[in-house]
Amino acid sequence: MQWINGETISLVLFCVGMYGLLARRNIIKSIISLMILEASVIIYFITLHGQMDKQPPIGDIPPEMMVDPLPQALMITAIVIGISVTAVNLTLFITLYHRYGTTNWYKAKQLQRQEKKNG
Amino acid sequence: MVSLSLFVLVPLFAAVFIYLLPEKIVRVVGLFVQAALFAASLILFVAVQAQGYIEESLGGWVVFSGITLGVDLLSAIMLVMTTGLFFLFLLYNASAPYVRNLFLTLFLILQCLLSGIFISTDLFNVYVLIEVGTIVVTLLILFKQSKRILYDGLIYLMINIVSMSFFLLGLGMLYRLVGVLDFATIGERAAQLESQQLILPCALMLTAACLKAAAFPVFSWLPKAHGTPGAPSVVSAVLSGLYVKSGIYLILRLQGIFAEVFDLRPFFLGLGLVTAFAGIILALSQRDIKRILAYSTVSQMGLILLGLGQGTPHAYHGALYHVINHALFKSLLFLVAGLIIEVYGTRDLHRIRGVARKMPLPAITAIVAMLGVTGAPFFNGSLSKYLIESDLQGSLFAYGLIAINFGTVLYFLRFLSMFKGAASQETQEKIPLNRQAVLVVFAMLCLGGGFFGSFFMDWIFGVDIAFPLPVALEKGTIYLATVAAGIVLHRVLDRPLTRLTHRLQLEPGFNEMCLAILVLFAVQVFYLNGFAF
Repeated sequence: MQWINGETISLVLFCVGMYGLLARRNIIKSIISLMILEASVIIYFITLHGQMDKQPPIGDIPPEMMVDPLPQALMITAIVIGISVTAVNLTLFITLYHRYGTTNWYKAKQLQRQEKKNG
Repeated sequence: MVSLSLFVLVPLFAAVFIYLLPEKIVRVVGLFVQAALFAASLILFVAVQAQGYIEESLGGWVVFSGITLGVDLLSAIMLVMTTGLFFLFLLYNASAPYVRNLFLTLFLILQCLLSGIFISTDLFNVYVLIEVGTIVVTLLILFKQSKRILYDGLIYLMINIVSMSFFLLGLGMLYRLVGVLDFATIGERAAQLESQQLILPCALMLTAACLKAAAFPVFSWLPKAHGTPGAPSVVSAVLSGLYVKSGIYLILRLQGIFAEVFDLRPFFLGLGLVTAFAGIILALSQRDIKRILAYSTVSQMGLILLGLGQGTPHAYHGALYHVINHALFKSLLFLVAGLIIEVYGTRDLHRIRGVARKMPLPAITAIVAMLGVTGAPFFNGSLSKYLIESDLQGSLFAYGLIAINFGTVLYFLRFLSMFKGAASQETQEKIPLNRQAVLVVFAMLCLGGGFFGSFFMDWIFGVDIAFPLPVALEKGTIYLATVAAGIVLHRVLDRPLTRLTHRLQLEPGFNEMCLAILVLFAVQVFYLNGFAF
C-alpha cells in the first residue's frame, strides 16, 4: 500500500489544524488553523475511491471504467462553505480588532468583560 | 398533498422577496407566509400519521442517487414545532422596531434551514444546512449590538465550524466504507461491516452532534450565544427552543444509523446525567437572567439525553415530549426575560424587583412556564419527566433525577426573586396586544400539555400513556417536598451557594473549548472500543 496517499496526508493536516486550534492564542492563527482543518477534510474526500486505471465519467465510457465522481461534487459545496465561513470569520475579526486593538483571545475576552461591567 | 420541498423553498423565496419589498407590508407578508407554512405542516403531520413515511425525490431521480426529502413521525413533529414556533415568534415581534427587511430575511432563512435539516434524509445535506445555519445564527445573535459582543459571536462561529469539520471528516470516512450517504442505506450497510472500522467515523460524527446538543464538556458556547445582549429575545427563544434540538435530532439519526453496530445508550445515560448537573451548578451562580435560562437549557438537554439513553419506549417518548415541552416553556421564559430587560434596562438579577406588579400578565405566564419546567403536577413538564424516570425506578439514576429536579427548583427560585417586591415606579407597563396574546398561547400550551397530556401523547405519538391517580398524587407530594426544601435552602444558603458556585464557574477560552472537543472525541473512541455488539 502506498503510505503517502490522500487519506494519510489529510489526517496529518487534520492533526496540524487541531494543534493550531489548541495551542495558539492569536485569533488569526486560529482562523488559519480552521482553514487548514477544512482543507484537510476536502483533500480526504477528493481522494476517496480513486483508482489509477479508471477514468472520470465524462463522455461515452462503459460504467466499469468510471471513477466515483460524487466526492468531488460534494466538495464543491464544501469549498464554497469554507470560503464563506472564512469570510465571515475575518470580518468579525477585523471589527473586533478595530474595537479592542488586540489579536489575543484572552485579552479580547477581558476587554469584552470590562466593557460589559462598565455598562 | 403537500410537496416537501415547499417547506424549504417557500421561506427562502419569501425571505428574498421580503428583502426587496417596502417596509410597510413586510411584516404582514411574513405573517401570511408563516401561517400558510404552519397550516401546511399540520396537514403533513396528519398525512404522515396515516401513511407512515412520506418521501419525495428532488428532480425525479431514483431514491438514493438523488437528493431525497423524507418525513417520518419524528421529522413531522419537529416540522410542526418549527413552523408553529416561528409563526408565534413573528406574531410576537410584529411591532418591534428592529423587525425590518433584514431581520425578517435572516429569520425566514433560518426557518428554511431548520425545516431542511428536519426533512433531509442524507448526511451531507444535513451538514450543508447546519453550516449555513451557523452563519445565519451568528448574524442574528449579533443583530442588535453588533460591536459589543464580537468575542462571543466569533467564538460561537468558530467552535461550531470546528465541530462540523469533525462531522465532515467522519462522514468522509463513513462514505469510504459504505459508499452511500442516506440514513437508511448507511444503516443497512454499516450493520454488515466490522465494528472496528466504524469506530472513528461514529466517534467523529457523534462528537459534532454532542456539541450541537450542548452535552457536557462542549456546552460552553451555548450561554455565550443564547445569552448575548445583542440577540433579540425572539432569536434567543428560537435558539434555545429549536436550534439546539437539531443537535438532539442529529443524535437520534446517528443512533438509528449505528443502532446495530454500537450500543450508545449507556454513554448517553452518563453524558445526560453529567450535563444536567453541570447546567444546574453553573446556573446557580449567574446574575444575568438570560444566562440563567441558557444554563437551564443545558441542564434540560442533559435530561433529554438521559431519556434517550435508556432505550425503552416510555423513556424515548418522554424525551421527545420533553423536547416539545422545553421548546414551549423555554421560549416563553426567554420572551418574558426580553420584556423585563426592555422595561427595566438591566439584565442583573439583583437589580430587578417587582415584576409581578409592573407587568402582571408576563409574570403570570412566566410562573406557569417555571411550574412547567420544574415538573409541577398538571403541567406538561411533569408528564415528560415522569416518563423519563418511569423505567429508572430504584436505581442510582432515580436519585439523580430527584437531585436534578431539586437543582432546577433552586435556580428558578432565584429567577423568581425578581417577581417579588415593589418596583421603583408603580405604573403598570403597557404591553402590546400581540405580545400578550402570544404569551397567553404559550402558557395555555404549557398547561394544556399537562392536563390533556394523555390525549396529546396519543395524538402526537400514537402511544397510550396512563397517568394513574396514585402515581400522580405521589409525584405531587414529591414535588411539593422538593419545592419546600428548595425554598428553605434558598432562604438560608443563597449567598454562600452563589459564592461557592461562582468559584466553580469556568469561562473557557477558545483553546480550552477545542481541547474539550478533543477530550470528548477521545472518550467516545474508548467507549466505542468497548461497547460494540
